[in-house]
Amino acid sequence: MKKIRIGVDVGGTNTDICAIDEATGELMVYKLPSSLKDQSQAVVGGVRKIVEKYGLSYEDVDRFIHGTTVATNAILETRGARTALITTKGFRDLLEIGRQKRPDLYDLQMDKAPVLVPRNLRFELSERMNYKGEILDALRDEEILELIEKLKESKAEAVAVLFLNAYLNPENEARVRALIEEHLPGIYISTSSEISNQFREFERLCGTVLNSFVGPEVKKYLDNLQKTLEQIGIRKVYINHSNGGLMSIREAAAYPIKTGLSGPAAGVIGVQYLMNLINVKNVITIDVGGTSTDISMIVDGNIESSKDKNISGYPVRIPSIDISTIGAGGGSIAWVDSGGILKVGPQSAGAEPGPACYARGGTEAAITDARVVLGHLNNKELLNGQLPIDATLSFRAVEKLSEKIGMNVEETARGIITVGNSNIVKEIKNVTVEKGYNPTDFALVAFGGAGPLHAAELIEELNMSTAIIPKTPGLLAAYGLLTEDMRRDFVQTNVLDLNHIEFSVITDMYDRLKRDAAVWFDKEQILPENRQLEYYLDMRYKGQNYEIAVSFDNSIDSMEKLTERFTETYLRLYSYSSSDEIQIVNFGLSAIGHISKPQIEREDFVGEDASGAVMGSRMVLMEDGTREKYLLYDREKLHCGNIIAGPAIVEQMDSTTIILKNQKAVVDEYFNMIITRTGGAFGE
Amino acid sequence: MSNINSITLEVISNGLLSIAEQMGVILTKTAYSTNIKERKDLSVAIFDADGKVLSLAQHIPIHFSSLFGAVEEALKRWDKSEIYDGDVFIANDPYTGGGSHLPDIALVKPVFYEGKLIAFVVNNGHHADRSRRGPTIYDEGLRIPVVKLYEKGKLNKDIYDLILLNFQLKEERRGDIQAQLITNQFGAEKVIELCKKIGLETYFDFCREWLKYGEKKARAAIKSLPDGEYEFEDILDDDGQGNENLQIRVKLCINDDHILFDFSGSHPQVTGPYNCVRSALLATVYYSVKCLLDKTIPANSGFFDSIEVKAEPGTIVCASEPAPTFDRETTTQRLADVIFGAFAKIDPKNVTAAGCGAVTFFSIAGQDARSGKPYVYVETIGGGNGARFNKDGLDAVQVHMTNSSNLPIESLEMEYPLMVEEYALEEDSGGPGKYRGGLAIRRGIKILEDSKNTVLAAASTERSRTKPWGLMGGLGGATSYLDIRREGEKINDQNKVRNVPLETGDTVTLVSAGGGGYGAPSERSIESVKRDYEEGKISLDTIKACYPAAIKEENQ
Repeated sequence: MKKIRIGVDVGGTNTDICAIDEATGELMVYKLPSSLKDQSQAVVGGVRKIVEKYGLSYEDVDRFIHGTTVATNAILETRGARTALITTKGFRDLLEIGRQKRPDLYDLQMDKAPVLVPRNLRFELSERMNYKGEILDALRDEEILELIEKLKESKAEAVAVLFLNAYLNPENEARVRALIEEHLPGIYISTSSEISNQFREFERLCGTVLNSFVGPEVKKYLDNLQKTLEQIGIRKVYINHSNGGLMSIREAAAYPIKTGLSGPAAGVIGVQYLMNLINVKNVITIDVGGTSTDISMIVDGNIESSKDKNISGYPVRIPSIDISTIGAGGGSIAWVDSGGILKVGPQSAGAEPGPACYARGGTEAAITDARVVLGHLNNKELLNGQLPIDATLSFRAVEKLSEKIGMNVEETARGIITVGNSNIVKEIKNVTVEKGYNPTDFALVAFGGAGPLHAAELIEELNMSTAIIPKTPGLLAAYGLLTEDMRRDFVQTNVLDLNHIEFSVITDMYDRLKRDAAVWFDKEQILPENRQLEYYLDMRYKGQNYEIAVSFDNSIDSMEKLTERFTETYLRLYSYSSSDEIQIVNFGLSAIGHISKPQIEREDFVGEDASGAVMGSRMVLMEDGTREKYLLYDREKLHCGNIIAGPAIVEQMDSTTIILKNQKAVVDEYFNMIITRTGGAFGE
Repeated sequence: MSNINSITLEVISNGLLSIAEQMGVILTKTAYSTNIKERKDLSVAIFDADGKVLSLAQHIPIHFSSLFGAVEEALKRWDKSEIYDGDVFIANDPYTGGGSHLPDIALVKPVFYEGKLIAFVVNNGHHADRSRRGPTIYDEGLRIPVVKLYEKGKLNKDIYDLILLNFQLKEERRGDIQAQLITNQFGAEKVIELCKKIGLETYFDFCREWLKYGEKKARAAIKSLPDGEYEFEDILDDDGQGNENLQIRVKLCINDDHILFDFSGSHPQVTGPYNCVRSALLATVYYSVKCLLDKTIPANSGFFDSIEVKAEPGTIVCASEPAPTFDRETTTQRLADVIFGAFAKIDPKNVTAAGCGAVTFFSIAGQDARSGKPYVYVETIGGGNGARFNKDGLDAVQVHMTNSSNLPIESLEMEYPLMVEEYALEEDSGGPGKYRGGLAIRRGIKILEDSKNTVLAAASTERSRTKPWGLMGGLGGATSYLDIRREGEKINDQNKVRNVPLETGDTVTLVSAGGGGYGAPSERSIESVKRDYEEGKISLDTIKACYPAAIKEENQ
């Protein structure tokens, strides 16, 4: 019997399915349009198709791994359960006041993100804990019971509970949960101390409320999916979460907010896995789609994650892969502003009507149109002929724009690309400086349908030495799902001055978290040999209000060593350090349950000569207005060791890669294309 | 336009803005004080070699003022030949250092490339230390004219020590200044990198064309306004020192692509700390123009210089030495109100009704028995924003010239021997109208036993006597107040106080003002009235008084 692992990634347009034979590494793929009303239709339908197409049987399916956007979409569309909130007396408006900032300094029409619980469903209880988690004012059961009556009347489908300082002491929240479960069974409950044990009440509150808001829908979706899959014989079902790991379907139903940012996470995991195989440790990833670009970083083999991300204007303090998104993609529209300068995006032509060249009614020039005019993209068809292209429409759209800025069509097309790239470059710089890194120390891995088009230009702009294009840039998210481990992140705020504690306080604290992790390992039936723990501390100089993550391991066995590690990390981020007192703010522990990795298709060195893959050539417009001949290669026919000297264009089903003059690309054993700069006009 | 066209202009300006934004990130991350780090009370800008603003990272509009002043004063004080690579200027004085009040300390670093002065990088942070207020600027703290903290890369330790000695929280100040230095160092390196890449000639061409672009955008926006004169006036409650009903006036004169803001007739400067120097006035005008004309106009000197501003020296909107300026931001809020009011006469749809119109704040200081160290807790409280022609005003936000965050309660209680008793929307505070004004905020703090020698160093509300106005028949928002209680009894009779000794168990509650409404209340949809009532945002009394139709319908 075969052992097949299936990954299903649901995107806005397509549902991508990747299946891999765990023994041979054979990769099977299938793409179908997403079923937006009920994601599970395309998910289950696609699984049926891939089983038919490749002659598999359901018994062959060992693990089923799912990247779902049900929670994300519910948040983006503000469509969720009728949710109530229970909080400390005097603070029911925390949710609405937030951080009291208006959403835009200058835009008078801009509104705050909608408040998910109306004021009449926000209830208060007399109770108070101080900053140490000590109970000053105890809860009274009779008051809770009265409140539960009001909850019943309110017809709330879900409830969120947050008490001030509960991140230190979950007792009161747990009591409220117990009584609600007893007297109001069936209502969906989230408490803040279950969602996050970190301080800063508004952010914890948002995570808790969002969890309850989307909970009932996500739970229903997952329950149905599980049932359907069980019926066809698939039992091991896992859900991808925002921090690039898997959780059981049961856990996903209890903490759907943890999937809120999972959409782009799987692609980054896929990159991490591929780069690990070829020993590339420091990577900036860009995932360029039709409307947006997602940027993230892998440092020393580890994906950078963050605890303060936003979803649709709501802060969530859930550990997540740190992905920044900007409105720049193939469909981003170019326009001229009132002062006469050329802007690109963030408006996008999307998939409908799409860029002008799709001939679906779009008349404004998108980045894709500029690429068609310049000759970067096939001017007849894309997606193996599934998408016909009308180049004259691109030309006309760019021409219209060129008249407004008094330049010729070719200069304008080039300008659209340059401006579009400058937006991405700006974001990459912001992302790297925020973390204290320099892009030149990284390789750029480009994926998503349009990523490979930008990669060569971006490494020139950013003075980076290398760009890497994986074999299946358009399917990387579904692919990434196949390579993920189980993962759960435990974080506990406990602010401690290093000067005032013994080192054993730290180990005691970790012992506590380790016990939590052990419970989780057991619950998920992860075998002892597959268990791994990673530690980090959020630390700061006393008096600061912003923490940095400091990795922690067995080699740190004294305060001196911890201080040293903190100072090193601080120095790297900010190029200075101080002799001030140091504080620990959060204790972090990631529990990882390893899942065997599938084989990846590879081949031994075939030869440098890539001429067997040449399909022809295309004339491409250059900076100076001249045309230059670019050889055209078929990605499917490239083999290990092949070298392509730029300028060249490599086409594959769902993506096109550009290699510039003074660059070359080498195909590696896993069919990645490694583009490097060879100096010259743009060189060092 | 040798090397500069529609495309290079966008790409290079994007590059410069990216540098300014990265500087902002670095300052936020490296600063020590809660005020800069958590509340982001800071701003960053890049200037050309002549002191013209090229790029500005937006954080808080009022900071426009403390930013551009410092470079201007530096260039007044030193000939360019006396400005060297490795210099760093420091300044805070409103009258000689280009600042707008003393807590804002600006650091300016000239940037050299190939031996030539090519730019200045500047950042400004609000150093929330022990606040001092008195009848003159001399009473408000250490005044720093533009002086060189570094010359040719060498720290002038005497000046540094002198500055630090004047602050209570020395370590925090040292940490913040250190962060500001690092931020500028980073910015300077990045500007040099940019020049290396594009060449100096292109860079200088860019600076010129970029300023022209700012002017072009501003003039296009002004030209779209109907010619004419539009006036508006309003008052500040008082200056806390007995001067009441302080008039603020503006006359807009629009003629083709030219606009004049004339503030003549505003109240003479006062002995309370509410005086604005000219740079704070300009900051308010630029903010308003961006809001009301075109928010995409880049914040550069081309834009700034295309606007004419007239104000009489010696008035509350254009103060002369030695007028105190500590709380000038409150006055800029009223300035924004009058500018919006004047623009409402052109087209009320383009503006909002008046918002809470204040920087409502308190500052509590004392000794923390837990650490034995002094502490200063400063908080500003948002309020209601004015209603719009098509929707309600925003509830509970900072308005106009500020947009600082609150301090999280869980963070506050950890850091200070204080406890937050309530933090809530104030019922009935939004001005009634077809569209309701935003609701105000109420925040109450209790003094805990661990706080010793506690004093309410200062507290201030505005709009405690005059309501934020409505538009087109909309009614005003509720007024603000300060409520200090000891054993349940109110112990203050003023809404602006200083140096009030506090005891364990005392509570200090601030309630900001609500926003004004837009359109007649009779036109408000019954559905909206009902929703507000259900949510407890308006009371039955208000419905009876302002929306009687809703009751009638309910009865049927």
